[in-house]
Amino acid sequence: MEEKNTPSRILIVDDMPVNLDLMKSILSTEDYAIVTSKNGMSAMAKANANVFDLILLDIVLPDIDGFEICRQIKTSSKNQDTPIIFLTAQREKESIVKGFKLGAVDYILKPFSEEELLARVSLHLSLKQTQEELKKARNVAEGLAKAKAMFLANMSHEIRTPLNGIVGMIDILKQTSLSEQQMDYVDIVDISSENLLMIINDILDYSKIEAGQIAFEKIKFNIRHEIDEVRKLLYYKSTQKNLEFRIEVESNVPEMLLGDPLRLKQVLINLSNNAIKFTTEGFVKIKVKLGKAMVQQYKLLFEVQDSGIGISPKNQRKLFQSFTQADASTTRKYGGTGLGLAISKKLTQLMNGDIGLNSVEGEGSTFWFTAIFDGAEIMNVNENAEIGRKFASLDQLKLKILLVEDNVINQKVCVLTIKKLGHEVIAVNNGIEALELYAKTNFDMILMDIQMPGMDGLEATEEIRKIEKEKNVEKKIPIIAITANMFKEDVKKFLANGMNDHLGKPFKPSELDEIIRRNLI
Amino acid sequence: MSVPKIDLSGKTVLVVEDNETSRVYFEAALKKTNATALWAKNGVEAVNFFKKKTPIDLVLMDLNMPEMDGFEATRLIKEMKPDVPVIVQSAYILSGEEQKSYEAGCDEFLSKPIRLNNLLEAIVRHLGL
Repeated sequence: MEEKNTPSRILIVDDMPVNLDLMKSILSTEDYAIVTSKNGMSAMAKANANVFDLILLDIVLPDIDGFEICRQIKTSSKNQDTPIIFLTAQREKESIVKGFKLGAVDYILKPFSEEELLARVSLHLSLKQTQEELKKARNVAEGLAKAKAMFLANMSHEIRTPLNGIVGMIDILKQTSLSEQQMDYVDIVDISSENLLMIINDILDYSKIEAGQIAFEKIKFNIRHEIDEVRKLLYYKSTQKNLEFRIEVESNVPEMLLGDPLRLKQVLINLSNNAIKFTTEGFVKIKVKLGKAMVQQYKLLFEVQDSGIGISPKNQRKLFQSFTQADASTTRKYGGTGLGLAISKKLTQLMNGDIGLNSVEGEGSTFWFTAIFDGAEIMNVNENAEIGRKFASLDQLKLKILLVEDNVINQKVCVLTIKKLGHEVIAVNNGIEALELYAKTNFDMILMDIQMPGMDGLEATEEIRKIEKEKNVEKKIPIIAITANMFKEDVKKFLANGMNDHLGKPFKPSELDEIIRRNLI
Repeated sequence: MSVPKIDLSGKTVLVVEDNETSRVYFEAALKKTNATALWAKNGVEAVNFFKKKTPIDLVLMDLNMPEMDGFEATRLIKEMKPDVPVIVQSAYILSGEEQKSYEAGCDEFLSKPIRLNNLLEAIVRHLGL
């Protein structure tokens, strides 16, 4: 680009012709294009018509003062980003500060030396140039990120559409009468399409994690149930390869935990899939151990051990990097995106854990990771909760629910959803109304918005818990936070404040149903 | 996997879908339930069914379609018939489609690919059976 050869354009505004001439002659020793103005009106007119690289602005002018000119230039579009240096006669602290507040970048005290003027002008011109380059670079980067996100969204759509036909017709095919052999074949197509979906989800997940867009849930779960789901998923695969597949959960691992079981399973399935993939004979074992019990928190250690091909120390170091497999021949022989371990690493980090491996080439590998979960007391939920997850609200459950929500539209939608699930609901607009009604009526559950005028959801919850304590209420009413805040920190705050669970807005009826069932007394 | 026997005799489901393969799948799925299926290839056709006061018990709505997309169609249908459940089913899931669908008034969002079990379960639930 030839841009460097264009001289920087400088506007000098001063009502004294002597000053103007002096500055002009000093600055003309450099390659600058100088424009001058003797008063505010002319300065404004020039600033409105041209883009300058720098403006030297006297404060005291016959018509409009320098501050006002500065204010107007900073709000107009043409020279918004142009650095303005004030010229001031005295060291008046007030006017200097005022100048900076209005967006000036510097000031020069009159009388000034030639060297100082040149130095300050050159400094601010080069700062301005750097800023412009940064801005350009940022625009390019943002454009690329946007293009990437759009590409991913479209690619996901293009792959999911035919997959809908594949997966759907597999299910339909399974409803027809098939021989045992045909059924086995359909199962393989089924598993393959699920694998394909998993790969797509991997790529999308990775992009989301990279962009910091992943939301972790904090829900109560039974670790043994979740591990068993992993077993069910992988059992078929391992028996097909004649591998022994075993799971051990040590007895001191607590029953119920708080965390994101889907993400936990994702890591376990990733590691186990790898283990099965790289093992031709022998076994794959999952072990779950209690690493450390802290106050209200448990650090769990998960191990996935196999008797597979193992990994050389050199390749071990590369493993957790994105898009990297042990070596290129691995990709040819075993396939895969090389994203699984990178995703697993990021997910374990998000679960405040760590990941690593011990491996001897030719003897097998043990991949391990740790994760920290909050403890959760054992719930007294009937068996229906599990079934309810699949066929929610088919069995009748009629509760009396108090809904606290200030947004009229959200309230309406929520009331409809609750009614649809077969419950009775009374809606109020804020914490104060909620407390009044809570004192008069027996409810089975409270759904509570957090941000509300008057009394917010956290305060209202605190008050209710206080009343329960005073009255020695045995069965505390479940209070569910409903909020658009899905940050881990917020959720922690809700739970610490006496809330039982949370549901992010917007939610599906099935999610509400599940939350309600999960928190029944 | 076993799919529970579901009888939707006497119920009419409007399927709004422009992809031929997905249409074949939904057709086969609904046939098993004895539901009456109506078909629309875009939002305009879907809305026209409601303008003509065709009795419809549930809508399966795709999002990305020519002429009128699923968001707009859902909004218009919900304006005319707020009580008819609209299940949005889409392969677009990454740009806030789920939230936009709920804002348009849909009752549920299913992301493609949709397993038969999940599809039938959602239909049964929203029909209140």
